[in-house]
Amino acid sequence: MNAYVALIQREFLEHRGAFLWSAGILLALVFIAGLMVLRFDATVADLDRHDREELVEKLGEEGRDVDGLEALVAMGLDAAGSTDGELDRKMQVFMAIIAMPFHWIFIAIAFFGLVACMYDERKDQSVLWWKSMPVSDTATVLSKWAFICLCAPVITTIAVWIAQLYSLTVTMAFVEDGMGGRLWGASGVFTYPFRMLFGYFVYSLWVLPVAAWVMFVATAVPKVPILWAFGLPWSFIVLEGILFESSHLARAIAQHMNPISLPFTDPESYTTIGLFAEPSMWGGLVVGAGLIFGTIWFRGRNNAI
Amino acid sequence: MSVLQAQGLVKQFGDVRALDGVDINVERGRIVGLIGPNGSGKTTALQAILGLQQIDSGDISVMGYNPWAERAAMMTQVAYIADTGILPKWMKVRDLLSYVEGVHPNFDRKLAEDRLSRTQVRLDKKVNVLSKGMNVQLHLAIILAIGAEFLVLDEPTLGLDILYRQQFYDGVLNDYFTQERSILVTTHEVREIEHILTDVVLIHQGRVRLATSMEEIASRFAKVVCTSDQPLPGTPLFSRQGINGHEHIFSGHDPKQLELLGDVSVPNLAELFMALVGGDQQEVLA
Repeated sequence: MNAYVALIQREFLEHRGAFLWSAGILLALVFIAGLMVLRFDATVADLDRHDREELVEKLGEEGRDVDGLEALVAMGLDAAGSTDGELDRKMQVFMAIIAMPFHWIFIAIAFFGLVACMYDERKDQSVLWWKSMPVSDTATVLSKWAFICLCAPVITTIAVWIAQLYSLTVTMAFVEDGMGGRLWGASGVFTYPFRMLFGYFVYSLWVLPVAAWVMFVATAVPKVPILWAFGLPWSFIVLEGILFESSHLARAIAQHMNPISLPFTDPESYTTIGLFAEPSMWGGLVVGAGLIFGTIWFRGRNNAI
Repeated sequence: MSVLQAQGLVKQFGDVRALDGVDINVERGRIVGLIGPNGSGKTTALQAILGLQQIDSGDISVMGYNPWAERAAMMTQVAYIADTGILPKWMKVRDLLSYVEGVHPNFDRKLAEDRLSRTQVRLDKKVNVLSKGMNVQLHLAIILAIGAEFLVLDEPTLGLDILYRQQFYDGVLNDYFTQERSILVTTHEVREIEHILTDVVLIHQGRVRLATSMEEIASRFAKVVCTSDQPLPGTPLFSRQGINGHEHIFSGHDPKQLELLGDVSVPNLAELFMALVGGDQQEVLA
């Protein structure tokens, strides 16, 4: 078996709990929300568009969340009354609303995963075991990055796709007869996972300086890596603000955290290949590569804590 | 042929010189004990030999590899068991074997599973539920299935009861060691392993105090428990009052002369270490 396959499998075994459970829990929530909406259906489906809008307003006044499926229901989709462009826009918002919770939970888990994959092996002394195998530090570090930034998004993408398919199926209960096909077509649900996977691939490069920073800190510091990972940039941001009254660092970090290449992002800023024309992409890759090199360097030197 | 050649190893940690010109040589087919108290530099030396620690100066060659620059390649022929449970606790035994099978070109999975089937280690168990003894059994099963030419053991039986300790060394001797393979071992339990050693390196305060074969020790050093009032034939390396009389350790003296003083025997390694570096080491080597 190829050693890299074994390394990726190892990472999957270590992190599968977090990624699979989080996706599973979110899917369960979507499923429950769907059931609730279907119960809602009996009341809402009979309402005309005007009544639905009134219902949304009423729900909003009561302080109830009208995002997501409720918004869709309340919005009525009104497929027949929408132009193709309007329907596309509505459906993209709908798809984005479903995808985004999965993405942000993924980001949170990926962050802790990047810390844990480099720090825990030193903490539990298993680094000595891993280093007793004929695997270089370079292969180890790259496999850890590759799993979390390239492979784990596949889990998120599949979960998002299931959630979108389920939600669209539920939505069929609310659309006018004969409009189902137009709705599915406007959603782009069958190309969504491919756009999302490609988006994640580009995003893994876009966010590289941030991901590599987290790995670097987790490998280099003797303890509390999360505090260092947040604290050090935060200190520099504050220092920059005080000394230069500017916020370049904060903006650079926020810019590279922005999921600009993912299909659920703001259509105004959504881009994939276009990101490679950004100097910031190449600058980030250089910084990220430097931090990955630093991570490899420290892993060779730092053993058990 | 040498599997390990380390010459002039120097490593400084701040003000502490952990290694101060250490030379260690391990020939093929030998079992070498690296013996020393805590802080003597033996762990630093082992880490340097395994490519886990960069030395300040000196040369190391393990199976022809530079451990620091070529650790990954070197570990195809070198195996290592450390003093603490270092196997990843979150992994199942089966997954651990799959991982080793994936990354190690010489790993014989069937051999490992056969050996484990004769223990209480089950393939579907996670490492964290295994006792320390079972952890060592698992680690040993993997090492034996790798069939490395050079095995490095760093306090491998620390914390194990006497039964597991005995099983461990029996396994190493009977199932691993051949004339084509070599072992470098450190342990506090010197008496437990000295009968299996072919060579010994005594290290203290970062310096090698003695590096020789057990045969050489037997022919060069003698321990005498005095039972007569005969004058000593020279200055002993070490003297102390024992239960049965004055004990002296001599180096390079005529055995016939020593026999006139009393009972002559070969000093054990702990006694030899005390003789060479001072009596204060008695506790750590006992």
